Amino acid sequence: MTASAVLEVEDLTVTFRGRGRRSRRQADVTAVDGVSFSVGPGETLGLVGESGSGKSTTARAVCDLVPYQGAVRLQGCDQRALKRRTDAARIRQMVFQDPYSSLDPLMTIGDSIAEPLRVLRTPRAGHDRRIDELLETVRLPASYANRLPRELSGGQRQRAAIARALASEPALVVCDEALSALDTSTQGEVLSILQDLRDRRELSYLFIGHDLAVVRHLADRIAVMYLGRIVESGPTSLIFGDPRHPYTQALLAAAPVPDPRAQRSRRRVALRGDTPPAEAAIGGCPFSPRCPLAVERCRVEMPAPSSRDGRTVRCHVNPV
Amino acid sequence: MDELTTKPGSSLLEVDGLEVGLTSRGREVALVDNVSFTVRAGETYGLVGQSGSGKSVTAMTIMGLTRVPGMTIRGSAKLAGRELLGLSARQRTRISGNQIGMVFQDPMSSLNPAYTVGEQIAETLRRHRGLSRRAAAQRAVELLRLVEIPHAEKRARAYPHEFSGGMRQRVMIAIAVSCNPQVLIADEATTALDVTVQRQILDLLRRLQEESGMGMLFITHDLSVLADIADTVGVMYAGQIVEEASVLDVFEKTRHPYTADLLRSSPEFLVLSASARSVRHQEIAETGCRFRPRCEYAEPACSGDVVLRSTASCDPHHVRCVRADELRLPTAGDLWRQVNEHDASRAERSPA
Repeated sequence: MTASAVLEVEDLTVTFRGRGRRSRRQADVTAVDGVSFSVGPGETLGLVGESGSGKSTTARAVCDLVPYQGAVRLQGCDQRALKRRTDAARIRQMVFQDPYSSLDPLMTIGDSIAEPLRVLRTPRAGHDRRIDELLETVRLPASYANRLPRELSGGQRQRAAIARALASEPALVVCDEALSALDTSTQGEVLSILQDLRDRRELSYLFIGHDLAVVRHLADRIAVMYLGRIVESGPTSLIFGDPRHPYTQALLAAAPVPDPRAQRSRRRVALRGDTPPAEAAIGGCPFSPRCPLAVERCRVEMPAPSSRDGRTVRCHVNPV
Repeated sequence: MDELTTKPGSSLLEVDGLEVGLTSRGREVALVDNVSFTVRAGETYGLVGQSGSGKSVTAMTIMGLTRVPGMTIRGSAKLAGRELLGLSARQRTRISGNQIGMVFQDPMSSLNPAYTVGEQIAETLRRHRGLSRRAAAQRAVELLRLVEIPHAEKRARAYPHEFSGGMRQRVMIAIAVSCNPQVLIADEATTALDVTVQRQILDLLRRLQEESGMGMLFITHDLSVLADIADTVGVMYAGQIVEEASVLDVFEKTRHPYTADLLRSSPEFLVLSASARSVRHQEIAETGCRFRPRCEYAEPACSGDVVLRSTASCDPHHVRCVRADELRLPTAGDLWRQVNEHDASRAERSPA
């Protein structure tokens, strides 16, 4: 981890308290368990995993939206040590999955985009010009500033949400499943806008997604999460070209490809069952109950990380 | 699974010239425009298109779920020779859920949160099959086992909120196949699921189809899913089928520019077009070829009448494009080659 990193996350743990009282209280859930990573300037880290893997909770902790233990440093400063909350807003912004609920239905697109500017108390006179610039950046016509969200399509709304995230000129944008609710043809448009921004402004992304093919195109590095832990991380080409962790392999094999011959020859043994509760594998590797390669040691001993060529894997059977 | 004695490959559901129009503010909009296709026993017909292309409206109309004021339905949809359109509500109930099962995208909102899943499966059986309470409850457990839900007896007494998304979708499938339907309609049935769970649900549907010989109408916006499960593919654009062929031909002998566009927009191929892609025309032409405003191959002839016709190939392959026989469109194989070349050149530029 270098001091120049835009985002450093160290030993991040998020625990949700079980609901109910006394004897009927449910067990606490540790959604994120000791996760560490960093994102450099202009770099994109893709965070992938199934639902329940803790990837969205990680994103929320990075944006200080859930209570957490551990450290989240933005440009070297712990975000909780920043004097004002707005200081963090100048460094990182977030784009959420659902463009239908993340924009205020009663505010015009222009007002939504200008809201961060008002919160950050920038001179009002420059707002209109800035709105035009931001709309142009996300390839929406300037006239859209006066429209309401309901007059826009899903892809257009998501572009407006990106424009709003860019208003404070952040160094890092956290995208939580930002493309998942969009049609494949719209995904391409939004993805190309995100790529442009990265190339031209050295913007960094923490990009969370469940569609590996989408994440692959944007991410320089990928971290694979399972039950709150990062089980494998490394350069995108290594993760896709030579996945080591059995969970990474299963994820890659599960996604169908748009080619009937290739797809039909890929139908192999699918990963059985759902993600079991975390307590199913106390002490051992969290993936061991579902792992096709698991040996006795996996069930009792948590694998230590092994690293090579910038890739880190936590697996007894397939270390690097 | 005993009642189906239909031969594999014989036609079960025949949709012919289906038109659905909606009159709004005095203007009729065609949601589905002259759509015809056949679902055969033991085979899967995949209907693909972007949101708003009319694929779900087609399914809903077949199921008799599109009775709204201002909506006009023409054409025919026959199940084993029997007309489905224009049935009374009473006749309809006898067929829906009995001879045709349906699975929707969102398993949470299609299950009743106030009843156990066992009760909901049993309800279908009691209503359509007249089973006693006890027999239905027993059969419900068997069905949960059939869709590979572990500890079926115990899980039958659980409520929908106690299930994960994938398990809920299995429950929906159990309800849909409970009366051994001849045809199963799956409308974006795997869209809301994780890839690993999607894989399991596709395998489950395929297994059930092999065991029962039912026909499947599989609706999705994701061509990759059809590459896995479909035998025949119909590509819809603006309410019309623009290309229809066997799954191999759609991917390997692509003839319609929209199909090529859809294929190219698959996440696997984004790298080829993402940087060059600007925000495109979404405009739909009202006469002639509807895809014309977005089509890079458009020429004056495209504004005339464009009908769905067979191409000059030996296998059935229908295309709604005047230039179908002269165009050489990139196929899935071409795109894969380009992606591999792109990856190779990227690896050269940045030595890891």
